[in-house]
Amino acid sequence: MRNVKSFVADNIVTLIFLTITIIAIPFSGLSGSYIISNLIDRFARSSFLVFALILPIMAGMGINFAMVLGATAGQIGLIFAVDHNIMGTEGLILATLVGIPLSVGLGWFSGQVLNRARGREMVTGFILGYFMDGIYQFFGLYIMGWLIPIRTAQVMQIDGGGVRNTLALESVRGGLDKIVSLKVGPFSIPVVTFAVIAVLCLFIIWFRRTKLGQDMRAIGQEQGISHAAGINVDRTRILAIVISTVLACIGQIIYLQNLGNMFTYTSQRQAGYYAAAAILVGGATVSKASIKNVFIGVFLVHALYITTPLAGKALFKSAMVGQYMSDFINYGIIASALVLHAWKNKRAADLARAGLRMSAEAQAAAGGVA
Amino acid sequence: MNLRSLVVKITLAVVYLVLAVWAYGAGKGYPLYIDNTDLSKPTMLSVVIDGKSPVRVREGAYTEIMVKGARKHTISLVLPSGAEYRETFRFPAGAQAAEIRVPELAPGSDPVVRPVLPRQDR
Amino acid sequence: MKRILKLAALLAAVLLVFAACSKGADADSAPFHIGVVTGSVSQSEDDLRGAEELIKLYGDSKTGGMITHLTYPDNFMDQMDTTISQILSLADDAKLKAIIVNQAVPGTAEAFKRVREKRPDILLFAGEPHEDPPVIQEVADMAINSDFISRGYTIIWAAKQMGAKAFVHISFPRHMSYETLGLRRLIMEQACTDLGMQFIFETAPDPTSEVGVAGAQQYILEKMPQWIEKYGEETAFFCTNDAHTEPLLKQLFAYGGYFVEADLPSPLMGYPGALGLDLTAEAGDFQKILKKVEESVVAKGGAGRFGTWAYSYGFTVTAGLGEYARRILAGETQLGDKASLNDSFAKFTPGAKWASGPYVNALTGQQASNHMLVFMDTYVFGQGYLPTTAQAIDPKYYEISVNN
Repeated sequence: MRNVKSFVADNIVTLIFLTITIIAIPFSGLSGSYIISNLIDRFARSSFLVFALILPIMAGMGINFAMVLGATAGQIGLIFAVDHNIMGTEGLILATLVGIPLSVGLGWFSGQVLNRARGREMVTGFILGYFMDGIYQFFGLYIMGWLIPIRTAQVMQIDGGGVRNTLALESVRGGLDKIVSLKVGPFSIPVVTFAVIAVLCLFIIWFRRTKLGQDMRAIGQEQGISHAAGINVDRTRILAIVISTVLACIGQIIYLQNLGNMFTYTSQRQAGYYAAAAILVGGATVSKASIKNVFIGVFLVHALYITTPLAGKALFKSAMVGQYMSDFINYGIIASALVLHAWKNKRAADLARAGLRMSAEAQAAAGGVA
Repeated sequence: MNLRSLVVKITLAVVYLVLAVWAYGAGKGYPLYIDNTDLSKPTMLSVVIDGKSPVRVREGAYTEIMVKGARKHTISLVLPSGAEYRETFRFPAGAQAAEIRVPELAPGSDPVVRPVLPRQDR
Repeated sequence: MKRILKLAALLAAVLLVFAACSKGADADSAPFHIGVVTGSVSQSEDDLRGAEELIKLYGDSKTGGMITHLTYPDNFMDQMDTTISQILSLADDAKLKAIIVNQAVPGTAEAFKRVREKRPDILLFAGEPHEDPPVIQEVADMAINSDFISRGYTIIWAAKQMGAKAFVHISFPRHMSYETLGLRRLIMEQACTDLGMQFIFETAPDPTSEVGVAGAQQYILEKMPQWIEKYGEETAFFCTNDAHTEPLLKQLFAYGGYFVEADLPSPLMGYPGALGLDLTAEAGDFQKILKKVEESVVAKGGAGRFGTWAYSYGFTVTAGLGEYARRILAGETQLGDKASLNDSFAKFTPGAKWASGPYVNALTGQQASNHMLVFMDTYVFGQGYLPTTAQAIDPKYYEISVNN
């Protein structure tokens, strides 16, 4: 009994969302094959971005909302590839090659900032994202077309200044997904995309075992002791953020090649949100995350995104209310995951204290005679 | 910094650059215009380049299709009657854009590809 | 790892069970279904009312009728994912044979592409596409825009007829990056020069940005008195965004100034909110709505200063495209029949004059057979129709393009 209880308490976030999903599926009236094919698509599209969050969590820096900076770098790479008319897989490779140095720089910068904001990394990262928004708009609307000439009419704003608001990525659309597309019954599986994700998983498993990975975990446990043990804490934390930012850059490119459309100035904003929602729902906490959490999270969150608008419509007999309900759930996920995380922390602390008290009492009972 | 790490770094930088140059060259897209404006033999047709999704070319229209890289491509034509034939052509090296005229596309012969200047519009 | 497998197995089992159930429970009699996707009440009420009109006429597919209605998210600029999957979810219904998206917000073209890949049999109609014309023309079977070229001239002409000396165009970068809206602005500027009026461009916040609809409306409320002070009362105002319209009208009633028509004109666009009217009793009956709004406008001293289209553009496009799709599917007409399209629109706008023509690419001169531009006579409250559809428009306006 105790076991069941603690299992439930440990996985409360995941279980709540699993329950909502199971309730929403029949109400949505969608067929199983539609949901599964959509899940495959969304899984290929967004899981890479979620993986970008693992390392900073490992290093005790919470959810890296500053991954938006990496996503922005990826978008700049894509703008470059589309503007120079580089098509297909080669276009994506070029976008990645352009994006990586940018994201290393941006990651180093945000690592520096986050090191100066110890203990408040998440909110600082969040605000860094907004800060980057401004710089990016300045770059896209002013620097582009002035210092960096725009070569293609489809990329240019209608009045000739800066990059367009909606950029059609037709030339690189499916550049990764469609290299090898395996047909299994009614589903088509983007094999290469999944292979890339698998390689990333292996990388993370390998990385945890390296010296650097061990250092990160040590820092995540206790910075002071790590420092005393001779680990360069600041440098290691910066590296965690740099790797996360680079992964976010690649993840955003994978995400956008699947969507085939980019809102130049807003697409990156959602990257942090959705990834955070997924990893939290998957059972990660702001201090502990694994590959398993990513898989469960992406699976559940997207099952919810697919079904809730229609389930809401069926429940409230109004398309609009259904849409509102799904919005409410989307943002509610993050809020409730954070609240539940705080509750879990408190519970863990209580348990630890109770354990301490019990052993103290036992000691007192034992030593009482003396 | 010792010599070995310097060599490794330089090699990485070179590989990075080579990869970028290759992607830029191999992935560069060029406009190919399908000229179907000759109304003496009006036909509507679908054009498939390199196995991509078909593009509809109306009679009297001048349709732009992007092709990847100045190299060999396959073009297949699907006529409304359902007849389909496939040809290969080489994109003219050094050209900014090229055009193919529909009436000059006959089954069995190589398509005539002319280098042209790209249109200045979209 | 074990837990993933357990969860996956559980979810898969649930999916299969319900997939079996939902298929079995289909007992409706409609020969086909039509999917309609619109904005919500807060984004674009008229589009949604058009869908409700279709449901009234042909029934909800849930209860044996034809129409399946969905909405796209209010902040569609952030949630293209959701827009795409909403449209795509319609294709899951094997009986669904047509999809109408009004307004076709960004993401529609991508969704249409995906629907086509899966279900080439579905008719795809886009109302007021936000994406650039060539993009939507490639994927849609029919696209309808309000005639942004002709109206670029006729709105200025109407403003002059009403007595305005200056014209203020309120918009923001996202809208100006749309080819349709950016081009219309250039045409308006040219028309102002030609008709001897002053053209002013003002920027207001985008309601889909962080400030939201409320913040954008607040901005207009605060700025309008200053603008009227600056440009004088003989100034006509125009805004490209629906959400800006209501506060704009409110301040025009209070401080003076002219309003020719909204970007997507309708007596319901902005007027009920600005005038504090309750039109629930008249819902869907545009002749009654027009009369009630007119009485109120005249009572507020707005006779001759405020205009609209007699019927809602958004409402008519949703309902008209739905009707057109139904006729095609029922075999009463076929795709591409212009007369039937006009007739489908006229069904919802008795007595109104429409002008329509194919979209012409200003650069290549090519006509797009699947993209129609439509507009209606302007109705000035307390004065009657202005014959905008009868105006001869100088062909040079059609040659204005954004690239020169």
